Amino acid sequence: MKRRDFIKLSLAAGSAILLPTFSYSATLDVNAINFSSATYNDNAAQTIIIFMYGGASQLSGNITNLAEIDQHSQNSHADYFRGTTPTANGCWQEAGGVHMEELIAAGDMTLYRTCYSQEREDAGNKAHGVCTEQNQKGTYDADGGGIVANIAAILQAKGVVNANTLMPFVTMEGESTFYLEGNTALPGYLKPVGINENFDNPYDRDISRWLHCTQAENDNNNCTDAASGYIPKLSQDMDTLTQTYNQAGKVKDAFARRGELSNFIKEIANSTTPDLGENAYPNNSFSEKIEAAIKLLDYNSDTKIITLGTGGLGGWDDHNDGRDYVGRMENLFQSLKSAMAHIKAIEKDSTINIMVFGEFGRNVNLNSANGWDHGNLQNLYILGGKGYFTHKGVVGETIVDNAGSNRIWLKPKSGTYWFEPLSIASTLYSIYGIENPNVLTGGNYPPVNIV
Amino acid sequence: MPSFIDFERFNPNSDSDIGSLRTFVDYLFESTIARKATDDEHALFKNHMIELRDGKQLFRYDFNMFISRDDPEDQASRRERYKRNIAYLVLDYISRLDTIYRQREVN
Repeated sequence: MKRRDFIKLSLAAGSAILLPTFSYSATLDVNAINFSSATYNDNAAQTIIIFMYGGASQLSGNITNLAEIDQHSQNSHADYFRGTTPTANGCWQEAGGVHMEELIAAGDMTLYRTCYSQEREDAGNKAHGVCTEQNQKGTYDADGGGIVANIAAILQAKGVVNANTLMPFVTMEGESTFYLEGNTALPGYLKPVGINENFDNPYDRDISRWLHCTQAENDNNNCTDAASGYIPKLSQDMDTLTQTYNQAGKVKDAFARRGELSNFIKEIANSTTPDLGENAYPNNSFSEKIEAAIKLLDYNSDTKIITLGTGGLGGWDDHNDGRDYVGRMENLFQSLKSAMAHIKAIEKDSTINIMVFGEFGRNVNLNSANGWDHGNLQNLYILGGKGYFTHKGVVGETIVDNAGSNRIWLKPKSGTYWFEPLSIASTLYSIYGIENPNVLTGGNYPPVNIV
Repeated sequence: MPSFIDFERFNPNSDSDIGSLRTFVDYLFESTIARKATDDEHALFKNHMIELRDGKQLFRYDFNMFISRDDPEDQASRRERYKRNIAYLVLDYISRLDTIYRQREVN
């Protein structure tokens, strides 16, 4: 709830609000981290993490095995879907494949087809909650902190971010495990700032200047002129007095930086997107989110990581009615193509990267409800960041493993490259200057040759 | 049902602007965060809304919920408006307290 909403509602009835609080986990030893400030500075990396909650099917980026899948599947993909056309690289043309091919051809994206977990295979784990946590923490250690919280703690410990760093981490999805703090609580300035695609300003203070200004202020200065930036003495006194009562923590931290962040968000909201021509963003709220994220990164080099879900497109837990998935993937990759065009137009394709993944992929049996159940192999899409990423096009080969009883899996082809999902965390750690990311990810390194 | 800031709810004394302000502020505090205002908080509002006029401590114009007018309708309308002005500032202050954002957790 916004403050002004609270005031309005209180005048009618009174109200309360819950701000969820972070819990703390253990096990980050920054002294064990080898950090390269040269890599950090040279990369000047900025990342948009798009997490596909629900576990997206990998088929949009890989229908190379579809004929064999349909030999065993309960329902036939070829019969159910309105088109399962393979692109040159075996992507699903109707499900974003055309856009994927354009991104790959331009050298803007790597499509990894074999993000597979042997650990989960052995443990029989295909649960949303646990797998989401693991992927957002970058560890199978239940006590580990989130990837972004770890990066924040390390960058602070290594002296490259401090209290003057403005909004280093931003969430457009609310709170998530990405921000679960380690054994030392992060200071307020390292905690994520939550914004939305409309830049509705959570720090905006709706001051009724006529009421807040004293007669003397009205007589002697521009107190009632909001554009002047003058803050009435009463408002200043309110802040000072309330902060003496507010307990240390998230709300107090947020209020302490309110004015600074409020003005900054207003400036970003007023920035414009270049004309992207035929690559203009499609009209959906997910596109608005990613467009806003890129504007923010362009405007503010202090912002290092923005996380968002795919709100506006829908979730990915497609146990039934798989046709919806096709349109969702098409919209997602059309938006990503526009995003890359946007990033190029502002000449940030060497620094800004986008990473797209979820908690897991899916079983490839098209079930009786024309959907797919949980699986253990997913695609990882990495776009941009061309100053530090060497894009590889399509990486990884899959085979069909028909385990019977409608359990049909894609698995890495024997002898070909694959990696655990924790390698995604390693990739993030690496581009932010951490030279031994494996100590944070249980020995998992970034996907081969990407960094 | 009387409104949230109806005079019936906090029983002001029109002979004492300072006392009525104090009563109204405490009513708003207790209704929203279940405590009375501290002396420092009362002083903050008093310093802004009360002025010395004709040798008396009286409401500033925009906060004068006891204002007199010949036209009864105009008087009632103004009193309501100026009372809302007080409430607006007090609730603005309360909204800056972390207590209001913690209440549901406590419950």
